[in-house]
Amino acid sequence: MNYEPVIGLEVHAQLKTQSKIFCGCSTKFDAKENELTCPVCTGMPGCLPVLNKRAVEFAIKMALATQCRINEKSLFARKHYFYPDLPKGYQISHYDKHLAQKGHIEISIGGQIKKIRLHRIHMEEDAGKNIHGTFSSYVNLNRAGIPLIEIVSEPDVRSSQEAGAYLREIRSILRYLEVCDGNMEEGSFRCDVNVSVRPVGQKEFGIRCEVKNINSFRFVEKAIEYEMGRQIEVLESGAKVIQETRLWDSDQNKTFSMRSKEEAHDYRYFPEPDLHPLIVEPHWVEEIKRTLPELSSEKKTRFIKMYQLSEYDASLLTQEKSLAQYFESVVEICKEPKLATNWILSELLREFGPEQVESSPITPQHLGELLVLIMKGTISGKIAKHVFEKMLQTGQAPQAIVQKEGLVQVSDSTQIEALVEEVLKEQKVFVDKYHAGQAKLFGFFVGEVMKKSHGKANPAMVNEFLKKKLKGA
Amino acid sequence: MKKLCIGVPRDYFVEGMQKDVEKVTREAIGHIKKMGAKMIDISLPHTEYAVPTYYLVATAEASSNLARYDGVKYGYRAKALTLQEMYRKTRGEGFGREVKRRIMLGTFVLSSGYYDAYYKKASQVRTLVKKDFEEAFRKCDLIVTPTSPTTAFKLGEKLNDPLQMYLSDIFTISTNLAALPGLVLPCGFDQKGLPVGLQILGPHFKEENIFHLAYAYEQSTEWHKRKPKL
Ligand SMILES: [Zn+2]
Repeated sequence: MNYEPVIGLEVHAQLKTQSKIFCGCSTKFDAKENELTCPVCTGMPGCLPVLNKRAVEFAIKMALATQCRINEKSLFARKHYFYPDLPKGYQISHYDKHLAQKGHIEISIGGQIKKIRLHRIHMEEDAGKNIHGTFSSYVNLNRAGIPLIEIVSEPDVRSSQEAGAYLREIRSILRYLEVCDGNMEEGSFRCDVNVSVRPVGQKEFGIRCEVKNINSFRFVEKAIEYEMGRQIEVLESGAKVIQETRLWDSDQNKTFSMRSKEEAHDYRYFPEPDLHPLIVEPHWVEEIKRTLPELSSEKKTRFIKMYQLSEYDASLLTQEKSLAQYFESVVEICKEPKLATNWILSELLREFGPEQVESSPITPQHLGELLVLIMKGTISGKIAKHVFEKMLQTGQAPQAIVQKEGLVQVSDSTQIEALVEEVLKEQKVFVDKYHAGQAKLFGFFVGEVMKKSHGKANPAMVNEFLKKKLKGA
Repeated sequence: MKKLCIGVPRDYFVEGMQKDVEKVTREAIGHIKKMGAKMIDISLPHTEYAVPTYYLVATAEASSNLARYDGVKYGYRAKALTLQEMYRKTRGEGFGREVKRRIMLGTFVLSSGYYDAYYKKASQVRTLVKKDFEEAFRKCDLIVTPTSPTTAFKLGEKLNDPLQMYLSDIFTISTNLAALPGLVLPCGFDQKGLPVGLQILGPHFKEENIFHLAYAYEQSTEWHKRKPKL
């Protein structure tokens, strides 16, 4: 029998606010243990939460960017469970009446656009972190109270590749909006996956398992594939899949049962009596809407049209907002989108990840100027690569490097003619062989002339003179 | 004083109320009338539900509010080998009987499968209690009521009959549910010589009127100067 998976994803994204969601503590990542805490986020008796408006604004941005409907009134609730990293014994979270719902995003799979619906987006506070020593355990509450949004998809995803594409798109939108840095290793972007399988053609969903603890896109894809295989095997053997929560083990590439449905927590949700209902007025939403930046999909479409780029190049250039901005700054200087695309994709991205381009020693201004030097014929493409290396090492402007190293291309016809003649005289033996029919020796002559000029001769002119002289000789 | 209109809820003079407490309270109300206030009869029809409602809402919140006393960060921590054991012992040994009773009741009413029947229902009744007061304050500026159906019982006397004990709160608890300001002041003694209190309730942000009436009453009586015999 043929099976297909039905996949739903839950993303937890840390919002990049300056302070925590219910107190004024900083949200810095690298601080000393428990340095960023106060009576509110450590759950001292008698402390009351005050909602961070900026966190709500960030959540609304994400909701708007994913076409969600925003609820004018939403409610925070308390979710109870005992764990040392949860200082109050409950987590404050939207529940029941969420901030936003019924959105969607588009993903591209093999050139095909597919719409994935979002069930809802809600806000909650993060928990702290337990640290286990040999003889005792410790709690670090720096992370406790950092604002999170949970983005829950509908079960629209049908393969591990689609899941990967969905997560990348969600991450890209969050980063474009500058509301979350999307760092999976540091835990600012986490995801849980719900997987079930069913025979192709069957309408009803199968029994699903939730897989937690997946901290990279690659592992998400692997965990889904593992779960599909496991569940199909269970069904084929005539047994039933048990609804449960499973943990991904990236060392063994397997999922393990964590707890069954029967062992599931009863979180005893009830409306948080310490917070008013959250009222989001429509005019505020409108205001936030006006601040939304162009997102990657819109940018990609614009790049294809405006700069005549291929879909592939455009999607590479728009994967990061800062990379797209870098590209546009370079084009503004050199006015040559195709050349800029080639240099950025093949040279710059070889040295840096798309997120690091922004902080590379080569500024877009300098790269633009380098391309201008190529276009004006001041230096050859080959010399340009050498200059690029120097720029990488020193951060200097290309003109300065060209001048200092005397790299200006020789385009003086008398000089080039002289060099060509010299080479042809020296390589008499090969010139004869060329005339005897070994046409591919032409490249060898070009190389010799370039060598004599220390790479500075204008290659087009060298070609031209060689052709002329070899014909004439 | 002359401008004040004061409501007296008929639902607050209940069956089973200690006779001399009712008498003392009615005398106090008569005194206020003599001081020049306009007295009117009002009704707070959901009063009888206030106690059960309160003990569902308050225990639910208490079970949640007290979750933070887990031995991890501060306060008492019992010695134990595992986390589960530490939680169990710390909370088992650290809380007193009445607190544990309330935590258990509150945990129960919030549990899945029981939430709708208990906590949710109680929240809805709470809204009705609130509306009673909103309705009443449309007709009067302040409300005057007895404080408790009986005078003080002996220490530990009703510990094994918590329902009876909780009923002592019947007149003061609606105020908590409706989140209204209130004040209690001495207004006389029962036959055993135990003090009786008079409760004054006002609408939100009208504490000023409450203080005004209480002060005028205190100035024209001597009750606050007398002490019960010990
Ligand atoms: Zn704090």
